[in-house]
Amino acid sequence: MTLQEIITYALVAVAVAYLIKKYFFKKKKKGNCADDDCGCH
Amino acid sequence: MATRTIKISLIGNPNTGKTSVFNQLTGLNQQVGNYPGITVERKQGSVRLPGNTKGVILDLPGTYSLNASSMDENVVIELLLNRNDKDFPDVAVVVTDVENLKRNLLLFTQIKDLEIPAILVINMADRMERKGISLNIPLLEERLKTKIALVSSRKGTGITKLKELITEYASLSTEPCLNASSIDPEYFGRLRNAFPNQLLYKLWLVITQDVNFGQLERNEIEDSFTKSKSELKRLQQKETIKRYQFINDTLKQGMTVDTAKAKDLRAKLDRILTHKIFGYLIFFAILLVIFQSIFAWSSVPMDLIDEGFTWLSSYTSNNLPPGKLTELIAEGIIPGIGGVVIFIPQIAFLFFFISILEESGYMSRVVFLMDRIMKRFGLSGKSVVPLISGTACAIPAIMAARNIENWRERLITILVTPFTTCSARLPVYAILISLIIPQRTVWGIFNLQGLTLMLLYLLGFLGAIGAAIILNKILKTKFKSFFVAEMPNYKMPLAKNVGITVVEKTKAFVYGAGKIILAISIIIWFLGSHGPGDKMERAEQIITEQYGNSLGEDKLKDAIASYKLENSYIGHIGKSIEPAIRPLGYDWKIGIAIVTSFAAREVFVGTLATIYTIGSGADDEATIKERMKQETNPETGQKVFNFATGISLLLFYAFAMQCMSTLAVTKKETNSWKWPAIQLFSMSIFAYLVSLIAYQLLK
Repeated sequence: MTLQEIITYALVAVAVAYLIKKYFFKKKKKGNCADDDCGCH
Repeated sequence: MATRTIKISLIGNPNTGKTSVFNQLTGLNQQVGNYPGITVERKQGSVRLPGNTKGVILDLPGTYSLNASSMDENVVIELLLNRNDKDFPDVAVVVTDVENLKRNLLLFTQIKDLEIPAILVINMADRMERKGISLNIPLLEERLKTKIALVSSRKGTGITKLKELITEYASLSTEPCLNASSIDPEYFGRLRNAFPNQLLYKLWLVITQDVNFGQLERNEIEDSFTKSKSELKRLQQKETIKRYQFINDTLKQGMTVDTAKAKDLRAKLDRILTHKIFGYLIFFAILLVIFQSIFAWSSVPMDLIDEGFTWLSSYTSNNLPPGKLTELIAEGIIPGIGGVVIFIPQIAFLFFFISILEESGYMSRVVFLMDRIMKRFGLSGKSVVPLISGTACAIPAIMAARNIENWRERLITILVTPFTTCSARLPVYAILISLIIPQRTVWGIFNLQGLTLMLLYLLGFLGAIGAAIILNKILKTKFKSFFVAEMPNYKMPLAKNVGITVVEKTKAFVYGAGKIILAISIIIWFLGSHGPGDKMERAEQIITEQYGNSLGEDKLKDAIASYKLENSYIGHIGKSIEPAIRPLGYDWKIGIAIVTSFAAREVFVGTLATIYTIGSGADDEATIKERMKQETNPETGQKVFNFATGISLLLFYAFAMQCMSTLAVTKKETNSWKWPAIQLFSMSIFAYLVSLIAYQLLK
């Protein structure tokens, strides 16, 4: 496996983990929407 | 030397410029608005004060009094009644508007009676001269037993004095303004004897509110001090009258208004802008101008961004060393990000206009105007706030429904708010409109694309009203809440506030949506570049064998890319859902975009950009729009994005519940999975049917 392939598959894994974390393990949010990432997009 | 920290609560009626004072003190970038309910949750910031002191400021929701009638007003009361709360303030900064001082002081006197050190901020001091108002500050300070900061949050004056007063809060008097016993001496006498260590006015608030505090539970008091609801109401009214008597006496001596100086432009403007015919016509005209401008002004920067990303994708592909990572960057990441960035001009213009309407005070007039319509359809007047703020995002809009006291009216508002056209729909609308609606001028001045966009916004609003009518019949609302809102003064919008809103909202869109779109683009690229079996690896061989030399080099490349995409994981997924969406005029690629955009609607464009980039020759330099325009159905040879499919898609996105976060918030606000499930299925089925009918009629 080449270095490019390793980095690519790692990025795919990070992307999957990010979406799972965002939608299934959502942390409680403080503050108002639109001030930062409010999870509405 | 150790830094001293002071806990400060910023309290005030809605529309007193509380958020502007907060901005001036903390320098935090936040939205400044005019209509009630804008501060739904608490905001926190810090301020550097004189004498190595740090202030931690809580911007509490706007409330008219300490007699709570909604959830966000309860936040204020629960904090002020609970000295054990970690946020309980060392000092309360009560913000008032110099033109509405009489009404604003009611809340101030209540806070004083809780014996919390309180500073009175009289805001909008810059308007005093114009309105012929003069104040005797020393006398007011003496009568109200406080220190006063005369502030103009718009011009930034008086903030230094306010900071000094906060630093010296320990010297503030905690003497109450009203003797609580005078409300009902006999009753309050018994109360004092039963709870000698508790503050009398605090006990009274606990009895009259639905809140607990500290170790003193409500039940404990209720047993021996319960009064009938009507009796409690009578005593509350008596308290309010006594407070206004005190405030009137105070202002009679401490405030003079030269009516000859006070210009009545506001009343004249109100008569026109809230007129039952002209009011709606003016609002309609303003909307028309906004949507025209969104299309007309943003087309040039959008085209530049689109071309820029296309060039970048092509450059990356040609200049980086060949390999998987280069393919991911050129075919996945860059087109995906381009699908977000391209909409920055339109989002920025939308919030530029919304911010001007809010800043100028016009939005409150719109709320008042719409209230007349709302009532006819069984919604609360207060539903207007969530429905209008839903044009930005349904999440805070649904949370703003906390203002509605009646549960059923609140529930209906929560369920119908996602129909309102949010900013996430804008990218989808914009690209589809530009594909299927010609850029033509109608009636001499109107841009047809702008008119279509406006029509879609109205359609969203009508969808909400229609759903409310049905829900009102099903849920049978018996009780109505009433919408009481004050009209803030007309103001020239401050460029700084408008700028902050535009930057913050655009940033939230780019960073919020951008991260998801980036992640989805990477996954889509992976699923589109890999597939089961060996068909992907043998694609070149299979296509070459099939076509031989009958295709030119470019067409052969396209055919190989297309074959690979069809046999990739995403191709298989898309093909499996295609039968369900084919009657709506969509192919499997659009189906994939619909599935991924369930995370967030704006992902639709990014997903298509990635799919079409994978499915085209590597040196293809077409923009997202051009690729969508060129896409043809291999079976029929017709354009995929034709008028019928475009309208069907526009209607689908207008009505479908394509937002996971909105469903999560509905669950949170209704405390049940039942309502988000109803919201999801009813909206999706309705969207499907409407799109199906539209496509079948137009094809």
